[in-house]
Amino acid sequence: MHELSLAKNIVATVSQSLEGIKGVKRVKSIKLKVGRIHVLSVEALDFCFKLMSEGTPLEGAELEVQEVPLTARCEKCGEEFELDGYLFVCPRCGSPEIKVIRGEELLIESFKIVKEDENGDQGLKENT
Amino acid sequence: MEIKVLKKILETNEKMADENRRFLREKGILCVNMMSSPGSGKSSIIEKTVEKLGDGFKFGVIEGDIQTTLDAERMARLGVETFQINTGPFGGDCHLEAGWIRAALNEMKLDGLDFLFIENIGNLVCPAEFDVGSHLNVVVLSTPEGEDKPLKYPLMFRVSHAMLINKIDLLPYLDMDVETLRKNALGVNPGLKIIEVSAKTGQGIDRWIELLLSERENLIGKKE
Repeated sequence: MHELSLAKNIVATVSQSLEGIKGVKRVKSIKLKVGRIHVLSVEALDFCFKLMSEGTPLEGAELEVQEVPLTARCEKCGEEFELDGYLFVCPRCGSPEIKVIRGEELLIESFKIVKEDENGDQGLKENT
Repeated sequence: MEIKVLKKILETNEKMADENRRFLREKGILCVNMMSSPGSGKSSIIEKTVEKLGDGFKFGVIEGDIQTTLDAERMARLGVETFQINTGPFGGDCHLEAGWIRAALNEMKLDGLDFLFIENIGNLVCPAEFDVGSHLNVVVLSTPEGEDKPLKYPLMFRVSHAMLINKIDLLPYLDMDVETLRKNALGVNPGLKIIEVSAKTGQGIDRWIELLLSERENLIGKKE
């Protein structure tokens, strides 16, 4: 259950970024990029995030998790390919000398905020 | 309003891990992070290593467990500088993080140590995600666990520099195919160094010790 640690870190990092912004009411959503090599349970992460964000401006924010496929480039023949399983071998020439270019990241990409002077969600505002 | 962050989720841990690594290097201590499933023989391998090298080198061990100090007691009997981390009171974390290691380093008597083993919590998933500041990551896989583990837990085998196949003396009694295990492990990580060992009979332990000594020599710049 390393999702608890990840949730803790997400809350800490976003909270830190919030310090420089004036008049934040709450965080609406947080975009994450998770490479396929990471064995991550989104349900567990959601659950832990709810626990860790309680009582902070992040409470109630939605986690948008984008899974990134494993993509590699062969150092020998230059072939760029997506890995199906977890065998790190070039499908064209069979070389094991491949470099993973995507799919190992674990990133907080961005987050959306609602400001004090905003009336909640954009959608609600348009309707009123 | 959208705010770009583009930060690694585990950035704080990674920074602290780098600091731990640098600190230990300056002290001339090779830090070895031992990871595996529960019961694969991490403690026994460390014991065997200390037995074989204990005359010429000094060892420290950080024991990570959710509960109990049983492993730490085993190590302390060998005269090893031991520190126990129990994650139970803090939510039963299934892995160690760099911050915990830092706290342990602050408490331990490190002067004169040559090797520091971190015996991570038995688990092939979570410890792989958290750099603790080791110079050498070792995954121990025992023969009864089967040859498919590298494919099921690829990150663990990607972040490891070496794999010890332990309990190799049990092979005659198992359906385990070591060649398939090797193929799977190298498929996930072509650079992985693989050593077959038995902590019980001592088979292969000399090769493991050779690896430890050469890694330490590389670390301290062949001073000795």
